[in-house]
Amino acid sequence: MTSITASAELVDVIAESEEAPTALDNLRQWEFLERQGRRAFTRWLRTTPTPGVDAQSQGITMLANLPLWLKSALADVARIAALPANWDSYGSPPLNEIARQNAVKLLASIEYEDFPPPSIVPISEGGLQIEWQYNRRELELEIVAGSHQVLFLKVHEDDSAEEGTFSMIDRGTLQALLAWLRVG
Amino acid sequence: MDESNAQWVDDHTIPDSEGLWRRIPPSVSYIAPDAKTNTWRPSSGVFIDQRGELSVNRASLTMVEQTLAGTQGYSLVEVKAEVFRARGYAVVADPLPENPAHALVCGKISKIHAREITRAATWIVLHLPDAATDTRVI
Repeated sequence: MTSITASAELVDVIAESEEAPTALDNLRQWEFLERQGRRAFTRWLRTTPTPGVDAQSQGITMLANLPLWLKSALADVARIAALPANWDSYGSPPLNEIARQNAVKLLASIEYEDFPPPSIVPISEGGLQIEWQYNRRELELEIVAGSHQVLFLKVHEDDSAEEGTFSMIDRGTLQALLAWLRVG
Repeated sequence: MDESNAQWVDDHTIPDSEGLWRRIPPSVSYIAPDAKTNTWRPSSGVFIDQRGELSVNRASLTMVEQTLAGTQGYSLVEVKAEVFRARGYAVVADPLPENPAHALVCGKISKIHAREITRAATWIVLHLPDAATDTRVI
C-alpha cells in the first residue's frame, strides 16, 4: 500500500496504481474534473486526502463524495462496461473503450450537483446512450462507438422532437442541452 | 434514414402487417416508465444498431418460446414492418440455419425515428424492472 502525505501527490500516487481498476477509473475522472476546473469537486479533492491512507481507499472516498446521481451514473457505466460479448443475444461486442471514456467525461462535466439521474443503456455494436426524463422533457445523448461525436435528441413538453450532433469537445452545446432539460 | 444505407432493397414478400420481434436483455435498464403515457416503454436504444442492421424475428415464422430460447429474463417487443418502412428503412429476410425467422431492418435508424418506433412498439413479453418474477405475457 502506498501512503500519501500531501494533496499535490494524489494524482501521482493514483497513477502508480493503474493496475487497480478502481484507482484507474478515479484517476480518469479526477483528471477530467481538474481539466474542467470544477472548483467544488477539485477543492474537495485537494483537501480530502488523508496522510497514511492508501491510494485505493482514497479513490473509494472520492467516489463516495460525488453527487448521488453522478455516482449512480458512473456505476451504471461501469456495469455496462463489464457486460460480456453477446450481452444482447444479438452478438454485440462489449462496450467500446472510447465510448466508455467519453461517457465518463461527459457525465463528469455536468456541473449540477442536483441533476436528475439518467438512465444509461448500451447500444448494439459498442455504443452507449444516456437518457433523461425531467418535467415532461426528454434528452437522449448517444455516444457512438469509436467516435468523439455525440448524437442528441430533445423531446419537448408537447412531444415535438429535434435531433443533432455535437463533438465531445463542444462543451457549449452540451451545457445548453442540459440547461434546457433543467429549465426548458 | 441515412442515405448511405439506400442500397438495401426492401423485401416485399414480408407484408406490412408482419410483426417484427426484438429481444430486450434484462441486464440493463432498457425498460422505463414513460411519464407522458404512464406506461412502460422500451428505451429507444433497443432499436438503434450502429451497423445499420437491426436483427429481428418475423412473428409469423416463430413463436415466443423459440425466440426467447436460451435466454432468461428477456422481454420481447413487437413492431410492425410498416412502421419501419414508413420511415424509409428496408425490411429484409435473413434466415439463419438455426433461426429461419431471422430478418434485418436495414439503414441506420435516426434518433427521432427510434423514438417514434418505440412509441409504436407493443409488448409481447414484459419483464418489469426490479420485479423479475412479475412477467406479463400479452
